[in-house]
Amino acid sequence: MEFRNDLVKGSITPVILKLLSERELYGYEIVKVVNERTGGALEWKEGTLYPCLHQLEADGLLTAEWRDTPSGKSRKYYRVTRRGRAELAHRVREWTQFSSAVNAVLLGSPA
Amino acid sequence: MNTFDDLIESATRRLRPDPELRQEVARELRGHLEDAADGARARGCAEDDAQQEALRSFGDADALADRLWQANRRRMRLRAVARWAGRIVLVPLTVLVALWLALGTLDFTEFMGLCGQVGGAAPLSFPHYLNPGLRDHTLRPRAGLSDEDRFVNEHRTGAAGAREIVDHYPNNTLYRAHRATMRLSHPNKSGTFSPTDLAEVLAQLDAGERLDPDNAYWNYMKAAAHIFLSGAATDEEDESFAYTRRWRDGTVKRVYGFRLSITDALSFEQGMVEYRKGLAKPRYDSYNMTFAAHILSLNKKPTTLVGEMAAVAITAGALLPDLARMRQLTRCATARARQLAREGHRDEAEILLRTAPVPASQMAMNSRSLIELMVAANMRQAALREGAVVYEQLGATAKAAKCRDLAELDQDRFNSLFGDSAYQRLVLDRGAILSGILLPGIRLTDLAILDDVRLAERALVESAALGLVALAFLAVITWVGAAVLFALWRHRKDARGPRLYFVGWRRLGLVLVVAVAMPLTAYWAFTRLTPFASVNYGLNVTTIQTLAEMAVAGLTILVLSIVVGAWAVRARCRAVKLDDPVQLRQTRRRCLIPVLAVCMLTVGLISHTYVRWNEYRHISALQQPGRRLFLDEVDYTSAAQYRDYLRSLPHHGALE
Repeated sequence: MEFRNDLVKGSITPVILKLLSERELYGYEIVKVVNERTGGALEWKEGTLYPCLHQLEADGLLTAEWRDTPSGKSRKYYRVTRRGRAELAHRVREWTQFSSAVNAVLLGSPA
Repeated sequence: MNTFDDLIESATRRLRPDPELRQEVARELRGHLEDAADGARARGCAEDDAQQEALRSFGDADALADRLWQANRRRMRLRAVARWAGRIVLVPLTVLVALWLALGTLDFTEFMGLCGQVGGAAPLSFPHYLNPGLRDHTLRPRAGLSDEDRFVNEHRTGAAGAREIVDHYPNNTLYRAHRATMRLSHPNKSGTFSPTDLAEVLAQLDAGERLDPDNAYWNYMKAAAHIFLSGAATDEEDESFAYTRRWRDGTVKRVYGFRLSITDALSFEQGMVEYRKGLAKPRYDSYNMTFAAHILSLNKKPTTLVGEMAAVAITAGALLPDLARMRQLTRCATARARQLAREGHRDEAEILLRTAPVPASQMAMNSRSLIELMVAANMRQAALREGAVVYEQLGATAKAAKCRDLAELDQDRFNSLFGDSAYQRLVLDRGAILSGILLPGIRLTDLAILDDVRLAERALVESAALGLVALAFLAVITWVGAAVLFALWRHRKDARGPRLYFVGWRRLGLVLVVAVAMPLTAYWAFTRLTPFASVNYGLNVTTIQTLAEMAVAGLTILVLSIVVGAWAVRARCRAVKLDDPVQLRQTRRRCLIPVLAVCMLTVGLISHTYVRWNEYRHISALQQPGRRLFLDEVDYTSAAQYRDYLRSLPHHGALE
């Protein structure tokens, strides 16, 4: 199933923050992990990931560092800052409340 | 051309204003595309298909370009400002600041000149204690000075002009005194004092005496002129005649009398006639303080420590020559008394001994500066102690005892000045320092705490030496800049492509801490907290020591700036994966300039602020009323008590 653009866009930031809060990842790895976990349901245009990462870095929610991998390639690894973790907690709360509210209307389940 | 190049070029085109960022983003995107293509190949795609799939899943380049620009624009703007500052403002600003600080070397030159004059063996010359060029820079005359003012301030009207001015104001005693004492200090170009010179000096002094007949000053100066011609005005000690003096700290020292060697007996006798006339006068006023105040009023208030020293030097230059003449007169009188006693002229000898303390008392009674008072006290002590010994030799033990008692009493009175804690704190500890430095021959150990003297001297030398350090920095930054320009010109084809402009705030901060803050702190701690620097004092020692320490500190800062700065550039290069060797060499060198500039700017501004603050402490101490020891009005200090004691003595302090 293909999701609408605005739904995907709104979920990118919390997803990135969540994944990076678990461990350091570089861009391509993030895409891979997302695909693994969602079974390919979230079909990102992969390029859109980078503006999002850069924006989060500029906002101080992520930091980045170039490192060489054993294969000899160099990758830019991202990790979440303390502010980023606080933002993630906020986003998770927000998402929970939002989805409950939407579910209450669409599915009739209690909010 | 790589398949991904078009997409990367297109996606990063809006980042073009920041080549370093663009290269970093391009590297990241390329890594992603290559990984994606590798993944597709691993899934069994053909080479071309794998690349096409990577491109497809990456998305639209134009949309990505816009979003990358939006995400990075704030960072680009900040870096653009840093780059602009680095290119347009920072380096020229550093050069300007270094030049401005280097102007301090002018102060340094003057300062060394001042040291040369103060510390040298040359006698104090009045009023050119400072040479004219030196004075012009350290003390600036007020605008629109009249010829008369310039006569007082600069002495540039020439001998004829000076005479005209004095003749034009026949009733001005200040001009008369100034002209006479100037002629006494500078007899003529060959340094001799001919009878014609004497005639002119005497004419001025006679005129002064007619205008101000109660003032002993004119007679004493005439006596000094005659005695100068008589050949007795040497400064030799007579080792066959010694007596003891008790100093403020309780130590007793052996002191020698003055050796009298007269080559022109007539002149000496004429001098003694004037001396005796002076003894009979009710008061003594040298005009020196009025004159010094007048000179200073013609100049702008000094704003630097060297300027303040120049002002102190001018005042001292106005006071000391006449004080030296008076001291010499008293010493001649007591030496003459000894001579007469040896020759059997007991009555004449006793007259001279009885009146020997009088010039000192006359001076002290009307003294308006502490230095006059102190010199007078010294003269009076010498006259009384020496008198006691001569009376003893004459067998007049009662008179000898009286002399000794008076000397003890006098010494106690004088010493009590130093027990006054406010006086000690306000005058001795601070105000005395620079005056003390400037007045060789004064027993500084009696007056001030050595550590304070050393710090004041250091403040003075640091202020001057900062200019030299700035000059060295200026030379380095010019050299590095020229080397970079030359390298750019030589490798102008290689100079295109990615450039590194900014090492990052954290690395810059680290460079400043390691290369600037730590050496400056170490310098401060070494000079202020360790015992190494407080072993010696005196400008000759302090100057060399401070210059050496500042040279070491400056060199350390320079080497650390280059080494740590280069490390910061390398670290930045590694961080953004700039690894093309040619580019890297170019880039590093170019990048080092702003880092060096920031270091030097920081050093310059911190040092300048510190030095000026240090100067300000001493200047403000000197400029407060009553705190400029020697040179301020006695009334501000407890020294007035000693003066009042002398005023209360009958017969101008002569022995009854």
